[in-house]
Amino acid sequence: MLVVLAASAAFGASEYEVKAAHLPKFAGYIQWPAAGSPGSNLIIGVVGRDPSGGKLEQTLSGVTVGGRQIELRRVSSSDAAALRACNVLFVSASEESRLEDILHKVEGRPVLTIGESANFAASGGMLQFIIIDGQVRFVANPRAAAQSGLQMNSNLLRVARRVVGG
Amino acid sequence: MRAICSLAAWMSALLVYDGSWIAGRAHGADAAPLLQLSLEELGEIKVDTVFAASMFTQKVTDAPSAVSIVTRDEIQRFGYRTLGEIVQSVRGFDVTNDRSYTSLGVRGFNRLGDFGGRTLLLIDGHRMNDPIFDTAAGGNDFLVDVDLIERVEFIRGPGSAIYGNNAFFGVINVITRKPADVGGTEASASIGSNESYRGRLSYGHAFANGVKLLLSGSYFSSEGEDRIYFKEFDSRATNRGIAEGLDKEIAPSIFGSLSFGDFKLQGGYVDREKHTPTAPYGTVFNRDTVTFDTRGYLELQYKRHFTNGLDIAARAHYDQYDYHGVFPYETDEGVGYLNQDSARARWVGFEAHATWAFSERFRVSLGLDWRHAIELRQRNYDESPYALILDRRGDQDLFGTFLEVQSDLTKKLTLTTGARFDYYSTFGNTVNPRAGLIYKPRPSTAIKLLYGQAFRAPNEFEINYRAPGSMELAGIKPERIRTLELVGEHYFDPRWRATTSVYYSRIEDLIDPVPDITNPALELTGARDAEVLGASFEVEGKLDSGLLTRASYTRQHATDRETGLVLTNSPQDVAKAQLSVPIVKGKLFAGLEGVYSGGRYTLQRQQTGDAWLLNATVFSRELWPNLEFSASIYNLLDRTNRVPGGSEHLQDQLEQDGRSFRLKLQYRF
Repeated sequence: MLVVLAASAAFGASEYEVKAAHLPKFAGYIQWPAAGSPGSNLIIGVVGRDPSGGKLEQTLSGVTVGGRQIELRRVSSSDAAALRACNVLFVSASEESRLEDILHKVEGRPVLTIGESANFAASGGMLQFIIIDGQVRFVANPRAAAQSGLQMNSNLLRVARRVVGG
Repeated sequence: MRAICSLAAWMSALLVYDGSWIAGRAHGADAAPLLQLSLEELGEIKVDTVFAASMFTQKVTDAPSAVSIVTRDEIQRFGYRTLGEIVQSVRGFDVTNDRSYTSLGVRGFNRLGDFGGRTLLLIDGHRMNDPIFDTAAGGNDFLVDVDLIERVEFIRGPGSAIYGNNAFFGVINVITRKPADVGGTEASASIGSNESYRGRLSYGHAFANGVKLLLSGSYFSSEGEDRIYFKEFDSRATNRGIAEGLDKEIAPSIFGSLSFGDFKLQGGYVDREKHTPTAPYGTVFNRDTVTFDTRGYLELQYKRHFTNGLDIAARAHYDQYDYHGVFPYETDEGVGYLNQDSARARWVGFEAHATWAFSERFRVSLGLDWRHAIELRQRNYDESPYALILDRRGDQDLFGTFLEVQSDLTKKLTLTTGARFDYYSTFGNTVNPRAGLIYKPRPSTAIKLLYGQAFRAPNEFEINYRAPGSMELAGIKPERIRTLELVGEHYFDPRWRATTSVYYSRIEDLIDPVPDITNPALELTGARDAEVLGASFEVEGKLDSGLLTRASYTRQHATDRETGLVLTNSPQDVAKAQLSVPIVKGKLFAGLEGVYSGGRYTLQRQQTGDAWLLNATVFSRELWPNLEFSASIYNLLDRTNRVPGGSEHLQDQLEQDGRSFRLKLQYRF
């Protein structure tokens, strides 16, 4: 263990590694409706240009959450069926101009939407990353989640930097 | 209060948008450690952003300034020994040393005889420039041991719209390591050329009850160069121009912080003694001239986030600075006597600022700043026979307030506008606005059009120091600068970034007590106008292997507006390059750094010639458990570089350090 930590001193957490690590954590705080809960795999879709330079895959490949294997998919913003097939959608900053369209496509479906554009939560996204004091924090929109049948655990809301849409 | 970082990670400047991969000790590229953290803990990790540009944290591409960051990782891999060496590595900054003080210059301005007062120097947001000389200390007189630095933010361009005084050409914010990052006891020892020794003992811990404690003490001593030859003093009466054993330096310092909840108490103290071999101010050559500089501060910070988007922060502080110089003179009859020169400053202040993010697209920042000098005193007298030459007390009170609004005009266009009002008891009011328009056609590309004004208030030395040989400065008022700048930043991919910048500054009423043959009228007015036109280009790369490289070129033309002549001590061409290669991934690095600067004009209007500096460092961490080791050679080629001497020097040019080495060990218990 010491050796692992030592090696990591030089190469470590970037913004996107930290963001990636959030994704399975978030899922753990969400109660999915019985009909739409994740199966044996937790499917995380990445929409738009991967801004992480592969860090999402590196961080999440082979990871299991609550016994579920994380399955990372590339999803086109125009492919409604593919979007809806995900349990979690991470919408990259490159999709800022298409946000409303993407969110509209999964509206009412049990898909946890996570974004990083400035207006993501205000546009009806459920969780939005924000950088505050150089730290990755997030804004939660529990109402948007509830409208899709997802329930956010109160502990998630407690950690959220801001809660909107209520 | 301004620089708030909470946990172990320090990030490199490079990959702001796309993220980077240099991180804190506890969290690795190996994803598993990250995934084991709780949401709260994840939120504590610091990613690559800059705080000082607008007093709230932004990505570097979003900051309304041209920003650079040097991280602890880079400090280690390039073997920087002082803040000055860190500053020297950064595009657009310039560092010279006259064997008495290290002088920080920016963008072609490094005025002879001043102490870096046109750069605002902060420690975790705490102002370090003192009210007597405005000194931005870059040598061993800087209060924080380099080993305690987490990262240094460099914000170029006028910053008075937020920071007020001294943020003239730029702001340097030194962010210290957090207690949890030190995480136990660290001891380090180094040995270098000229019998230079440095030792440090630090303890840092984040206790389970929420209390965080950092305590650190350092001791530095150096014999300096044994024999230094100055041709200006080459005569039989003055030891053939050789100054013997007069380059010593001793600098103990302490630093610590204690935080609990929203409160943090932080402070430090440094006491530096430097012997000067150059015989400045007409002192007797090869006789001991010594200066003592001590500075210390204690501050209480309060910082709070509210979930409605409001952030507030406040700090109350006490600062002190003392200077004492002992100068040996001789009467015409050859009788020796000592002149004692001293300054003493005590001041208190209070700062508060609030940032309210009404939405993610609209933010307002409001700040208040108050400082009051309890004591400002300058004395100068001759010993035996006693003769009091100067004993003056001054006052300096100021009140400042600023407002800044940042709003996204469209999804790609952000406008930042703001202004700060300052009232100074010494000269009256000044208002300094700034505006920045940032266009981001893609998240990886930013184009910034920036305009800013700044001022530097006349300091106590300039107002009240009237010793024989010093010039009277009539009608003193603040220096002013207006700068227009165009910056382009682009990430080609997460690994490579390019930055380019073109800037024009016009400086009015420059307070410049150095006689300069470019402008004889100066001695009467002490003020004049100057301008600088410059352009720079930089490429940075950080590869997954840990390879790190950066290269920049700057061309700048700083001139006196009356005479059209290039200013003294202003290199027109500066190139810098760094390369650090991992030899054993993550554990052993070889670093090479080169700094080139073109010739500078001296006071006698001579050219110093080109200066080249090549430094090499081998650095290892955890090759053996808990042990860090580095070996550096500075000025590898032993090149003789010269910089202009100030008017206090008989030497028109002064040699910079020749080849030297340092070996350093650090062990964590």
